[in-house]
Amino acid sequence: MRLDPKTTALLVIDLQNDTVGEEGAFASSGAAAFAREHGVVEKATLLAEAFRAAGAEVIHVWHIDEPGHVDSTRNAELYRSIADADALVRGTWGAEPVVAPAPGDIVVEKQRMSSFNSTTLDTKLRGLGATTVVCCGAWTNWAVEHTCRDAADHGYEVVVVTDATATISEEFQRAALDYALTTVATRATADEVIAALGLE
Amino acid sequence: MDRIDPKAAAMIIQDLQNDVIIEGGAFADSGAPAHATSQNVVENVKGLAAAARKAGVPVIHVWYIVEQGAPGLKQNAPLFQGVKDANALVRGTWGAAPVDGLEPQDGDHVVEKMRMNGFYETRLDILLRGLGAETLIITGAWTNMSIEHTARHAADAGYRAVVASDGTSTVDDEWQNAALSYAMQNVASVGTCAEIASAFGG
Repeated sequence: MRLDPKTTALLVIDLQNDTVGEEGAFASSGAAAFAREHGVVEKATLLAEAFRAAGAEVIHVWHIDEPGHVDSTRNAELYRSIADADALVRGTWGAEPVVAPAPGDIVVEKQRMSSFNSTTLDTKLRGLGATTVVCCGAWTNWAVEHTCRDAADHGYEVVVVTDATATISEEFQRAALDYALTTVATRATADEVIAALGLE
Repeated sequence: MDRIDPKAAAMIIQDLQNDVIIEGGAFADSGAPAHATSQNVVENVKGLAAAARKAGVPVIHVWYIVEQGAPGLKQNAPLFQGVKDANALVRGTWGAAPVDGLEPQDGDHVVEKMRMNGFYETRLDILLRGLGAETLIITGAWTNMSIEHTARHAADAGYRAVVASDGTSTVDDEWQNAALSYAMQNVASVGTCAEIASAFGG
């Protein structure tokens, strides 16, 4: 695999305290333990550093709800659970990123599962000249997989980083990575992605 | 299954075209025809569509259609390369036609698409708004690809997504389980066609 830094962007998706933090709103789901055991935050941090060093774009996508979740459409259990847990609220510790943006990084906020729905992500990727997106973050089955699917439908080449993505269990991780995504994305480890950037 | 108000619901029949699930179709080698048969997907969807029409629920056929040679079908993922390489789903061919028994009836709607998600660059969302649909019942193939993606998008777009467990098929039971037993459990309501039909009443 080769990745051209000029046309490749890293998406760091939903790596926030509530999604993967030990004291986060969803820690009891197993997500915090999964992220810790697999070193997901560390690998995402290394990826971001490598992308910056290669001159490639790093885009942080954060799920942010307003206080009281007043404008959240609670049409699915997923959104109801975020509101019920009072998670990912603007200005709170839970909504803060665990991979800090560096100067020059881009931040996109979202309110739904896919990083493309109701956001400026597609516009920004086009403006940046990105034709390949590398996806890492959480949770693999929800935001990460949905973002990979949408990126494919939008015409992007998609790489999903198998060891820099976190979900709630090994079984869920396999369900996300071993089926539909095999026809939609290239699966690669963080080391493979970093090597593909061609850094010395 | 919570009640489904027929006045605020619509049903889609997605990609149930010969190339997708029928022996002799472009993707028959995948195992999809055998899985469609074991799921009894055509008969189950036919029954649910009849119940929907009777209850006043609009039925929308969503078809994957490309022109000869698949011009403009960006080849950025194996899925789309597969459609082009197999010369599948070409307008006017047997492969692109709906399977026997699931042809559109008077009053049904047809939406064409050329990517995975039934919403992506189609008129599905504006049609659903025009019909006043808040609940979207999703049937068709393949469960992991178009069906799951459309259910995910429906959820993101604010609809209550309902996926028919026996009104969908893919390449085998393991793939079906991967689609329906994980993310779909809190993104959509998953039920049988009979359960969904029952939810129209009362």
